Amino acid sequence: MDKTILIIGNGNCAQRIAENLLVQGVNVIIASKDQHFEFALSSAAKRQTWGSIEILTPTSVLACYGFIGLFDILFQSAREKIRRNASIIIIAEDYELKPNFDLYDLNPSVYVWSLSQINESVNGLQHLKKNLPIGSKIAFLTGLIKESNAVIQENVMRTALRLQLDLELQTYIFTGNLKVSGKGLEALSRELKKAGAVISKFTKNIPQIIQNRDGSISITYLDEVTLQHFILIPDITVVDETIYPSNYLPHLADVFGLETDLLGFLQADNVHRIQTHTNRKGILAAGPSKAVQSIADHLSDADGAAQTAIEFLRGSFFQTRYTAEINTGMCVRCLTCLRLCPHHAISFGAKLGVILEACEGCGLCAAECPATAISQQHLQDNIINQNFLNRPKQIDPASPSIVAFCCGRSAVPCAELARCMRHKLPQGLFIVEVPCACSISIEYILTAFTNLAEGVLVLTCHEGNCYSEKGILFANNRTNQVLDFFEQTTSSGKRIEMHTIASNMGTEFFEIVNQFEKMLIDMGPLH
Amino acid sequence: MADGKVLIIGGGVAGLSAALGLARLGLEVQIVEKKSFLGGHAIRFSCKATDRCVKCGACRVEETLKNVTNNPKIKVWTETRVINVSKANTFTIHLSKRPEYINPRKCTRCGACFDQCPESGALIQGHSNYNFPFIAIYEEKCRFMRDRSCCICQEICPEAAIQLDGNSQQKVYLADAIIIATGFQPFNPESKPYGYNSFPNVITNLQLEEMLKRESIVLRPSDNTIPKKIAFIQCVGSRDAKLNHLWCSKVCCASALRLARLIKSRQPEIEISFFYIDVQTFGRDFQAFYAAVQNEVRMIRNIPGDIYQTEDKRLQVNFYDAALAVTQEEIFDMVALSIGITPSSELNKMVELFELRLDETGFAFGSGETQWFSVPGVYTAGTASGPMSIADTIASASQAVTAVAKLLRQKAG
Repeated sequence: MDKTILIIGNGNCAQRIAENLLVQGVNVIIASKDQHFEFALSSAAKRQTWGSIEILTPTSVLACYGFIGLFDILFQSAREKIRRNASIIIIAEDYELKPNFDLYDLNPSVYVWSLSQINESVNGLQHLKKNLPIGSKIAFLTGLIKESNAVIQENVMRTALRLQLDLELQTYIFTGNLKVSGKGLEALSRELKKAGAVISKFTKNIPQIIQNRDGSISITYLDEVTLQHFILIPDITVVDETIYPSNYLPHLADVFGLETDLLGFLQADNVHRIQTHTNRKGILAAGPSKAVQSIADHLSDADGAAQTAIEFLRGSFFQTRYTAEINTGMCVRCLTCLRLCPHHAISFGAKLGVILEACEGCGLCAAECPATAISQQHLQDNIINQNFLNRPKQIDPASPSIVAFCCGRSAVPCAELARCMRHKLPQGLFIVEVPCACSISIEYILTAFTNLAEGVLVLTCHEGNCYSEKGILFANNRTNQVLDFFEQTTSSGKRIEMHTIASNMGTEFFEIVNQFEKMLIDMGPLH
Repeated sequence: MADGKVLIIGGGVAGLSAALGLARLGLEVQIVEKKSFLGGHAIRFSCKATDRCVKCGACRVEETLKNVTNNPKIKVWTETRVINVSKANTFTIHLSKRPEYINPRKCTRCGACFDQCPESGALIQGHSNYNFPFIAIYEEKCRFMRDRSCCICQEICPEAAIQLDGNSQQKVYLADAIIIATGFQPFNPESKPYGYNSFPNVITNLQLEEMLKRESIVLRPSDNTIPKKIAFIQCVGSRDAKLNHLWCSKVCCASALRLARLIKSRQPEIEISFFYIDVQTFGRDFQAFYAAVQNEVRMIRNIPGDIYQTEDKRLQVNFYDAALAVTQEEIFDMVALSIGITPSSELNKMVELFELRLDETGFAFGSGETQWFSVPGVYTAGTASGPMSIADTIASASQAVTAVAKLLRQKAG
């Protein structure tokens, strides 16, 4: 495998990733859309550099082809198009800070500043020192209308402390919840109070903030501790900021086919993506491109991303058991698989094919292919044919035969945990392990019924916890389709149920299967 | 990638994640855990999903443990302590492993021993399918250990997997690097005026997690009935100047509010009140989560002064109601204390053994903090260096792995 890793970004996190990789003898390409590129390797990294480094700037990514181990990336630089190969891609583009003037309905003026503005040493702090008499009042508005976070509020508290101690100004912090969930922040908040800052917290009645015609501010508020009303006319009001993903990220998400979270960061809100994984094998999102987090966490991500990249290079992740295969003779090129694959593992050329390196084996393509041209041999041969169809079949009305299609990531370990906890599971329960609930085709469900199952359970991960993101959606749809089919053809009741479950819910598993068994016994035999 | 051997002290999320990271880089890893079961505190946690996953990370612990169990590069010694360390070019570590009373290769988890043991608490059960063996002997309670008066379990075990008079084993391990992942000590709330350990219906958030994992619903400990009113009290042992605990434990707002919503989704008739100082931001969707929780849970910005028990084992909680400026007395059926994350006493031992340095709060420095690199080859992961969530812990383990990888690369030249 080519040992080059592409890093997209131009900040502390990107720099640390590059250092980590170079030190381990890995070649690195850094691509930044910024013209000015400030990249200084620490002396330690320079001394030990085994890997080579290439810097492409200013460039933006135009397109990306290929897959893990062999990505083929097209860049647009100022003059020309550039093409490079890389095994792994790590995105660590810095995020953006935007002041919340609109949120508080304020206009920036000499009286109203943003947090970043005040922190600028020349125009901010020096200016204040020269122009504000000792004891002048500075009010900070943070997390009042929208919740803030510890990253922003650490900045607020550090700024206030400096104003309070170095410039001898009187600071006031108006907030909803004081965010201290970071190392040293509780101690910082106490230091700040000790220095004389006033921290007022508001639960229901948030302060009334009025901007006068000349741009000055008056803040009227009810102090929740003393229940007294106050009016404050600050000399300067500082508005906090919100962290947004870089405006480059939507483009990168589009080019690389990456899922995003609600805010637009390049990692879906899914615990399987911890620490820096995305929906695509071999493309990682780190630090400020991944989520709102502290600088320490960005650096931690830089270590995590570099480590994962090296693991990938070593081939530790090419072990998917269930990879799918397309029978080109049967394929009608409807492109359903290409459209649905959550991991971008379908190659689209003269003929459609599964990219084994990228395939995570979820089985969605095989289950959805209208021409039944896609198979997952391991699942079909070893689990369905040998294991499931050959299962002992007894018809006993007291313990009806239940086939539970269980996601291998959640419901299977969960069943094992239930046994460990010594919950008594139904005797007629037969578990079919599937790689993801999205691989449970209608055909498999119907096969279960034609093979003497009295009832079928489809047990899948919770929404937002599916390794392939959409497993639950497809499992739900197919369960409903089979239910509809039953309603139209027989009157034998609801013999199929879908439930969501996690790997550590042994007791819940027991409750689900036992209730289902009871229901089947009440219904009477189907066969 | 250079070869090397790494010893990890502690088999919780941090130790397990670090072990996996190192093994995937091709290194040989040895985990030592003083307790009987791997997985630390977090393996006891309940899934907090309601209609959808709320990203508590508890299932990730299960998955990490599974991957460690299946990885041939990782060796695990449970019930093992570090006795002594000497350092020359590499570390020479002397370990002592408790007798293997229950043979994990023979035990089939039938539970016969557990059912027949006459001494409650002498046999303890694991928390995960991947705990091997799943049942362990708790020496302090076992009658055989006390006076050799009972060996029922050994006699009845159908697999002859139990051997009560085994010997402890001494081992020596040579390692190029050490990762200290000794975790945290949950704050002991007995010193607080909340009647913990005297009033049966005052429990900790960790006990509540375990209860939900075991029973799937909340039951009042004193009589196993469904409580009508539950109070959560936050910051018990955190953000407390009297204790000199000048830190936020970082995870309790998330954990308690997720638990509260889980309970509301399963037992909607239960009324939940939440006593807090500040609600900390967590998750990618905090704004929506916080709005939803305010509809389901009564939020009270005050930490109660004290708790009294009524005759019927209910609890009178006294708190200051800021909105009305009066002290309120309110009766609850159950109270859950969100106890803080405090430095583990194991850290003091690590200070002696490895010259580990602690910061002013009593936690170790993290592997990402540069001051820390004063003892080459010794790194920390997880809550040994301060409060963290499961996700943060996994991230901190990757920092320790990176530090080890760099060190070994340097050594190799």
